[in-house]
Amino acid sequence: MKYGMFLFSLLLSNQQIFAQTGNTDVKLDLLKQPSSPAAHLLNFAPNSIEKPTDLTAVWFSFNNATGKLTQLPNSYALDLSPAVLSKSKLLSLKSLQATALKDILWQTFVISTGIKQFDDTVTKKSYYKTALGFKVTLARPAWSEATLTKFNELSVIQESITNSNITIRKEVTKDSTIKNLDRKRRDVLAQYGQQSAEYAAAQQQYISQFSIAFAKLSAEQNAELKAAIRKKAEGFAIERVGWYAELAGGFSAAFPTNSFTYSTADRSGAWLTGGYDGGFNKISFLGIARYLYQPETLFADSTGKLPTNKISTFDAGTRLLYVSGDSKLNISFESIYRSVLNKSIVNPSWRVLFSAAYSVGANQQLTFSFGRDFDGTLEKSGNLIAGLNFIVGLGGDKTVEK
Amino acid sequence: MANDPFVYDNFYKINTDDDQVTLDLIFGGLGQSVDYVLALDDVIKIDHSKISIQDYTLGKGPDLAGKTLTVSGNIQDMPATSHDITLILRIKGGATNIEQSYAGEVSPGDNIDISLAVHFYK
Repeated sequence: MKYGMFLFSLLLSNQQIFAQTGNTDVKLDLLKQPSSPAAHLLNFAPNSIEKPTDLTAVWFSFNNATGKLTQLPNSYALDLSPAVLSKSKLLSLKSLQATALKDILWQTFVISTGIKQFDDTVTKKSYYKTALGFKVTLARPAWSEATLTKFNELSVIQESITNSNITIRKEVTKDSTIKNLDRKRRDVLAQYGQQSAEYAAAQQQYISQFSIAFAKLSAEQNAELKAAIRKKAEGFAIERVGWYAELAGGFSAAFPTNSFTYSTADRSGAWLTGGYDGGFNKISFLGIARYLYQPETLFADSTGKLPTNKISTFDAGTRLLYVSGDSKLNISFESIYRSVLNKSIVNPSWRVLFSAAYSVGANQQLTFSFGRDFDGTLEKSGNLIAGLNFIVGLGGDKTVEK
Repeated sequence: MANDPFVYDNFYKINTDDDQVTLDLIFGGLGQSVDYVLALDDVIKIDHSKISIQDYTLGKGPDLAGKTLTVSGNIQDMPATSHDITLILRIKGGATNIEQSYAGEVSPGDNIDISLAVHFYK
């Protein structure tokens, strides 16, 4: 009974701590750059953004969205990577090791566009908004030693498959059927020329039989290697260690009369993200700065009800995160600044939070947090907004979200 | 079910002047892993490369006559990629230019074999 009371009192103290911190739902991740700036400005869900990988797919997507070019789409967002669309030579996995600025810019540059129909709440009429944006990585660290090791292990198997395919090709070309078909196409080439229908038929016959024979031998001889490389590939994830920086921006325009001759500036934004990535489960530092013009809601307005017309905001934040090698100790320091630039409707406010968690057993975590909330609670009262907290969970092993 | 290999085996007419014959091998999509060996007859020119090549010089037309270029390799689908595997083969500098494109959407973790052969003739 005493133990039950103790647990109950711990639960109550836990509730009190959350009540004190208040803005626990305001996290630095809210400031992170969107995956698609233009789509973000038009409120698209990330999974509704089309990302074609070749020009045919671009045309098919556009044709589909516009009803074969007969109408404007009601809702359409498109992300285009020039490197992917142009079939750049920098697409292979090894090319992603590149750290030279020109390679990084080319590989990561993405143009995002979107068009969406909105309803005017006053006139009850529909009108269009369009948006254009971009995102690019400015600096990217090299792969970690662990990633290089995994890549090398993968490469060893891939090289074995290549060597096997060299042997298979030689075996296939020695096959009597293939040799006969090869002889036949060579004769037709000499007699009728490469542009002739006779040659096209002989060539088709040869390549068809060659492909079948090659695939059959590969299935027999490469099966084990392919099973092994599948396993290696599944466990592969790129880990980078070092400094990085990413930039994204975009703007949207509204067409209140649905005429291209009359448009108004709608929303715009710019996101700069940078920091130091220590790798998986290591120390990392993140810094974010965000500028928004006419955002949907003001980040600095906790009520979320103030009008945002012709208002610019600037928000920024930092996070220092350390996770011990055994993942038991987790320490983070997070700060967020939020402000309205051109009107004094909300005072700038800031928040800092230090938190630490240590797993002392299955589903048992000792946590500690300390900081100052946006409303200045610490400065006004001078007391801590959070304290030592011991969490005991029921059931199996689970991580506790801070 | 195994994926069809990317296979090419055809003849390429060279010019009799001193034009250089060049080769492009562009592998994709973004983040897919490739390995290949490029040989001219039995002489290995590129040994287990992991990257695409563009405007790679094979030699002057007359020097290539009667020789066979082979590219053997494979492309491995990697996680967190689109699972679209592509290959573009381009040869320029002969009587005509050739461009052969291959594309396939594979299941995660699949591997596609590559066997290309170009026989140069006058």
